[in-house]
Amino acid sequence: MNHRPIHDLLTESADRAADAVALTHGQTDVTYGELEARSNRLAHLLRDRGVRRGDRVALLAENGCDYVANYFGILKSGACCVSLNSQNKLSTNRELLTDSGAVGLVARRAQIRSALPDLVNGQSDLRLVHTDQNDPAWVLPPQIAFSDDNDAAQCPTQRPDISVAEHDLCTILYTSGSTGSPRGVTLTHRNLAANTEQILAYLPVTAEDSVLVVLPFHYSYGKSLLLTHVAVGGRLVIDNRFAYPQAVLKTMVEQRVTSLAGVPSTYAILCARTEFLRTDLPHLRCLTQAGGAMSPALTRRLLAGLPDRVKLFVMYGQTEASARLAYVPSEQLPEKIGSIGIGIPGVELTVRRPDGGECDSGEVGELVARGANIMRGYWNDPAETALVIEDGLLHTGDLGRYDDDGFITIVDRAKNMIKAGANRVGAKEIEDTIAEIEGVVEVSVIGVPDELLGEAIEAFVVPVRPDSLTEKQILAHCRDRLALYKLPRVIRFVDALPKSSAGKIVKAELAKLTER
Amino acid sequence: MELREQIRSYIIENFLFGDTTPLTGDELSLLDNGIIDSVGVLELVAYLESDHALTIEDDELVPENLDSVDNLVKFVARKHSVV
Repeated sequence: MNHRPIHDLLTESADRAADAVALTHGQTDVTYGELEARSNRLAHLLRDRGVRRGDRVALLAENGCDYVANYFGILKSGACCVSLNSQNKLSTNRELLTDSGAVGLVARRAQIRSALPDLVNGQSDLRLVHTDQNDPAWVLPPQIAFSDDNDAAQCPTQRPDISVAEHDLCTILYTSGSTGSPRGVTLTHRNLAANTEQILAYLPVTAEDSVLVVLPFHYSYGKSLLLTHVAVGGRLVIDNRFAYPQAVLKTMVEQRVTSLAGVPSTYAILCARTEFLRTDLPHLRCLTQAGGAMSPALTRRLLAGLPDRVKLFVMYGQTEASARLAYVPSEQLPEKIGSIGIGIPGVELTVRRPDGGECDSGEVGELVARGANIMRGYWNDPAETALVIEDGLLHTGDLGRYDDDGFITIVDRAKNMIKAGANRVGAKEIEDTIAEIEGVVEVSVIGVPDELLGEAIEAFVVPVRPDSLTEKQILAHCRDRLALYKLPRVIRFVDALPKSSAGKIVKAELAKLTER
Repeated sequence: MELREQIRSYIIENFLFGDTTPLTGDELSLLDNGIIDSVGVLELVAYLESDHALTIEDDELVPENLDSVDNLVKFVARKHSVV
């Protein structure tokens, strides 16, 4: 099947209902017609500044109306959008800009503040920077052209006539890699269009829906929310204040949201610290959950506390699969708690033995997926790509088994990854950071079960001498180098790390230490 | 120690690990400036409940009460005044 460029989803919704509200953020509403016009203006500006089909343009912004207009504007210029995480440290985003070879950077002034020169100096591929508003204090290298929204406002609102093919690169999303360095997941227009169609085949999303968005758009689950709702002409209600869950609940009431998408910690925090299950939300009809396994206890609590009209969809996916791979049909959830369900329509999700044969029910194997949504590979990294993609099959690294009905339950993760809140965090990146500290002999980092986060990060550190290091010293070092969500919640000093006969650290033994 | 100093030192010790430079002003949004995240807000609430003997209701978990040193000082003072 041929797929259209992903930005056609916006144009088609704007053609159908230009006056319908696409985005609400605080007191601001943006219609589909306005979003279409704003994205067209940026596309013209980027073309005028020399951006061409196949170029990469990075986007650094918090969720908001600007983010969405800029995302589609970059795609309409023919470029691929490199989605940067605004929570990343400057040094990380500088590395990712270099790694992606981005020719352009579109950023919100609030996200870059005084750091813009540090971010762009030395970026040999970068030719242009666009922000919402200039700052006279910024001094950029002469080869980098600068523009802001005043310049974009002079550009035409008509859609630029740029040819984009379904196999063109659409988006690069960076995820934590098992090697410690972020890897760029390359997704084509076809990958994202296919996954959008696959999701809409099982999830009841319509033009009447208003979804509350607390997940960042630079994250694959957030991006899939954006694309599915734009595809049907629904409304996205953006609230970036989830740290204050009661404020978010108030938004749900005031904006009459019909659905909410969250990771397990979203629901854990809503249930623990708000009146979520006791608040009258007469318009709510659907909750979705992905981004890690939700505890059976929390699933049961939601099922018991929600009115019958509200459907709960438990889902599973990976950035490498554009977003979504599996779901539990909501009517079967009460009997399938703890399962990630079955492959979504259009995705073949199977449990395989090491020899490639399919497992029998009850037998543990690796989850392997095939579908038009599977990424092309990791950006400029054929070796890492070959580890996960083989003959068109995505090896997820998750271990699971079928039950007698063919539903899959995940039992373990093969990769050295921690799922903290919504974030996939490579243990090695944190270990490498702590190992830089003088006085650290060795270190190992694991995820331990946590009621709110799913997993919390714990670091086991062997100091050169007892009492030669403090927890504060280690955390201060990490805070300077890692995003907040990668900071260990607990540092444990130990005399030695448990090792196998081959000298390999046995992380399962470390996990037992945390249970004491 | 004065209330404002207690709150400032808690934030500096527990979220900035001794580095005072990011906390450039008492009016600064802790969330927008990357000083705390959503888990940090819950830790802050636990600290206020234990060290300041407060009971914080769910509907008080809003930025107007918690998102800067100024707001925290006003919030704690107000809570104590009504006890």
